[in-house]
Amino acid sequence: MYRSKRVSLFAGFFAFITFSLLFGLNCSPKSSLYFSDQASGGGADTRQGFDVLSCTPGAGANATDTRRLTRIELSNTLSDLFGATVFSELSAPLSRLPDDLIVNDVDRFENRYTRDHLDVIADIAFAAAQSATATDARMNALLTPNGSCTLATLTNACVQNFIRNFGLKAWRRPLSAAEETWALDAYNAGLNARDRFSALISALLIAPDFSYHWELGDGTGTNDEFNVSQFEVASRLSYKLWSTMPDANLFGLAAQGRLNDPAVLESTVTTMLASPRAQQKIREFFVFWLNTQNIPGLPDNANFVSGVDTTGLRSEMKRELDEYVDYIVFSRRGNYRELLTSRVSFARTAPLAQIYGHNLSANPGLADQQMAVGRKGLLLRAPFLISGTDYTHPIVRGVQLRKRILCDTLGAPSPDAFLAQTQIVDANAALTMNNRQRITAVTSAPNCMSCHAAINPIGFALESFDTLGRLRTTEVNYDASGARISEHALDLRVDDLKVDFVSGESVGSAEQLVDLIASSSKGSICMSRQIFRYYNVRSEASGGDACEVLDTNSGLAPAGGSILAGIKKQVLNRYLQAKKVKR
Amino acid sequence: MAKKFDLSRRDFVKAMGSASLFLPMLHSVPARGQMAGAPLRVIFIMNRNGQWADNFYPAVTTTQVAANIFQAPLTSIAGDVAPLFGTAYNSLKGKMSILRGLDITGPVDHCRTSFLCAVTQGGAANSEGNRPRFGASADWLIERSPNFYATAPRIRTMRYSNDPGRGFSFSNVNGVISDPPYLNTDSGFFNNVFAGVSSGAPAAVDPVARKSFLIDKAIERLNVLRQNRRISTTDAQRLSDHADNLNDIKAGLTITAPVACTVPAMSFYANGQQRRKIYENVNNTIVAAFTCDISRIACMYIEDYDDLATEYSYFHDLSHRPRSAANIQESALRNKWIADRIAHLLQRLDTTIDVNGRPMLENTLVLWGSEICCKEDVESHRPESMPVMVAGWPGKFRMGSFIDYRQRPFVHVANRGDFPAIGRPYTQFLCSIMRAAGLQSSEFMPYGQNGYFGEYTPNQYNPDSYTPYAAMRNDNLPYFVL
Repeated sequence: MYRSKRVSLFAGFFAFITFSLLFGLNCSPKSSLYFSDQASGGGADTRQGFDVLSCTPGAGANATDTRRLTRIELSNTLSDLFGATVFSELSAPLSRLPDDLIVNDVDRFENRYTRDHLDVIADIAFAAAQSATATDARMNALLTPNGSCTLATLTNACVQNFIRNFGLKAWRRPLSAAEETWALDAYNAGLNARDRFSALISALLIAPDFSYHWELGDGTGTNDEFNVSQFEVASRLSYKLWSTMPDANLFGLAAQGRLNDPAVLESTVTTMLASPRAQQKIREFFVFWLNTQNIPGLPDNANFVSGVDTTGLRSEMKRELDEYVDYIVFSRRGNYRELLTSRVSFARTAPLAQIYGHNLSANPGLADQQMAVGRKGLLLRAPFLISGTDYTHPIVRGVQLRKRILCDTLGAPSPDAFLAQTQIVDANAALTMNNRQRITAVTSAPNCMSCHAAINPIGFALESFDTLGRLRTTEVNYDASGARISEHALDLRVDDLKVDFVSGESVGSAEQLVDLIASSSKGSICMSRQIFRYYNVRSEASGGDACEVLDTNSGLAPAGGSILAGIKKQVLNRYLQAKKVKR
Repeated sequence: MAKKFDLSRRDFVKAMGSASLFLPMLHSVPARGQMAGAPLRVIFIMNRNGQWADNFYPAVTTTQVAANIFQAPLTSIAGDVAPLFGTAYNSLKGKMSILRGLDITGPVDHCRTSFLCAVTQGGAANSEGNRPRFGASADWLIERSPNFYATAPRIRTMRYSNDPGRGFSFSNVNGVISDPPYLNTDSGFFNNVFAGVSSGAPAAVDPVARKSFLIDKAIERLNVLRQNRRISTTDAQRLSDHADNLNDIKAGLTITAPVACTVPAMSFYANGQQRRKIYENVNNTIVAAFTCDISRIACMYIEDYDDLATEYSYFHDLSHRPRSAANIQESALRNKWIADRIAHLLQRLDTTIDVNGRPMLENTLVLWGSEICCKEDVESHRPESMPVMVAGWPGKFRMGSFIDYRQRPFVHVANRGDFPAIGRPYTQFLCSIMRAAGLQSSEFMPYGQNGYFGEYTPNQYNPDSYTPYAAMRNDNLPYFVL
């Protein structure tokens, strides 16, 4: 019986290693990217083992392809075009749109419309037009802004104005004369007055002008490099900050040619950033960055949980995290360091307050709840520490921090890695080891250590937290039935941490690890890179992209800076008006 | 304590592999109550007195396709399918099926409740009473199902009978009997459907035609953009791919003229005048009502048999006559007149383009049947082998086939002097129709005996013949259901 319990414990441990391999963690060496700001005199980064992502002096904008609208951009744009009532009637075809797969990895975004996409978009265009023209009231709501027209008082001028006004909004730019003729042809294909508008609207929506972010410039420059038009600037701002089409104010500023005035841009973006839509997008960025829509479950071992009521606890952990982010970003207007190091807690239930080691305040919104010593900031909050088992996963924790917080690239799986690790640990002997010792043994093969030398230390520094997110002083092991079988001392001291891949980084606690990351340029630059990825829906590269990342970093990293300032600089980056075509 | 969940790598991979096998099925589940963008419709047509097997079934060699299931394609038959299905059916051979060997699993009877209730009468034996012992008819159940009518139509079911007071729609729920009325004049039938309705523009634009048009417009814009020299080579390629995909989608569309909701102009006829014209009016009214989506169900009860009869033509005595070439031929003459009226309806449905751009017949199930058997010898009121001709719903049911469900070898029953040729429960056929109409089993299985739709009381000639099907009598009819 006892033997089988031990086998179960370590079978679970090995199953975890297997899971890690299947999903991309591996020990194959691959260099990471790092940054140097040659433009500001930083010079080339020569630290061994790293590619340098350089912002070179005078670098122009990186060449890019045209991007399609993401699913959320498409939905938001339709909602803005037609209003909530019509939009609510499009839920069925919209639900059939293929997923964009960009959560936490923009490189998975398929920047083209597949046949499945186009089939659905045709249905959406038809359904939206049918719905928008379904009743006289809806028709007249569309028509009245175009010269007090109604279905009953329709004139050619009404139709012309409608094409002009609705076309501007749908394609986010004025239509040319040829395009207006194209639209009028669509209108004339309708079967009756109402259906003519339906045909026109659906034609405008199915056109590629609606569904891509075309940037064809203002007529200046060359075909390879040029300035984008005022309306294209308006779209850049609105889709970056709101994930939707420009509003009337932006269209107006574009029409007046004022979106190349730095003062106008500054005030416009400041206003936009303060809007609920921009705040919502910032929250969505954090979901993307931290993968918080995939928070693990909680352990179910009653002996392990021991007295903590876990009912609704996972949701409370997620809610608290969201409120904390809101507080730092919007209320405090905090910078990167404050995000990573503030002790403020927004726990609103006794179990989470218990885990965070403070009494439950009557008003946590006033930020008078402080987490106990040993825990601070974003990274030591429960959602990043919990898992469904009663034993910790230092490798997972290390990988998550490496990939998300430090932007390290971890290599592809080595086919023989799993086989290698199963041969080097004896299960009976491992029962006498703590988690750190077991993992050190399992990953000790040379072909593993090329990566695990960077992964494991970070995970070991977090061993002061159990999988319920509680601080602990010893490590307790349980068997498959949930019974306690062993207890080990913790060993939190790690040397050669390699946060910045500079030898000699040592910490003795999780808080010291957080301080090290918070003060490293690599940490804040990684957040800037993640902001670049989310707001541009693509990964960054050397050249202009690197400069754009450094622009962002100059907003969110310094003392006195803020995350909002970083996002603002991402939007108002040095290439806001520039376009380079990829050849 | 909750049990730990240990998942091995092998089990995980196996589970993922198994799960992936079912992924294609997720896209193959059809929406209830509609077929490819058009509403489903159903038409039930009945005439009394059964048929002679010689007249109704094709004289064709079948091949076995499953246990006790034999089949022959109707399109393989040169000339007429059968004496009743003459020239008017030649263009419909691939769009209809004839089923043999579907039996009422109840006592010998003569009741209109057999046709769609699969239940014998509630009155005295052989009294031709019109009340089911229990249960309800398929039309009654379908018209009440929210899975068929998501929203209430103007008319749930259009019912026409040339014989006042006679129809085949019933329900007997806990002793409460309903017997929906049938209208018995073409003018009354028409006015009931179209009173207050005026012709107008098409009820709805054909979405298929519009989709094709929109694709053309999108490709125009793609071509313009592709010429722009400020797009990258990747973008140009992406636009080409975009156009290819749109063309691919368009190639899969079948474009036809849009259907229009038009109130048909017609002259009406009194009983006894031009009975063929009366049925053309009824048929045209049904098709127009479908076009305008006023109703999606029609029931028609027919006892006429020629063009100029002075009153409804009662030829029940024919069903009691002994087997002879003359008697069979006389029955064929009268029943073929009915079959030709049904052929007119099928032709109208087949040449009317529905809102999904397909012939309306593809979205409409037409069943022609009777309340008693296809007789082969002296006994006319046997419950075996109900005459069944169906057309439509080609994606749901196997069309273009003669399907024979009679068990082999044929069993000789001594006291009958013929071969009863026992098949399988007729209830499977009716349940298949109701499921294909979108109904859940729970919507019709309570309307019958012991938790099953219809009746299951094997008669004196075949007490054990249906035992293999007892628990499956509400299953779908195999081979016929696709």
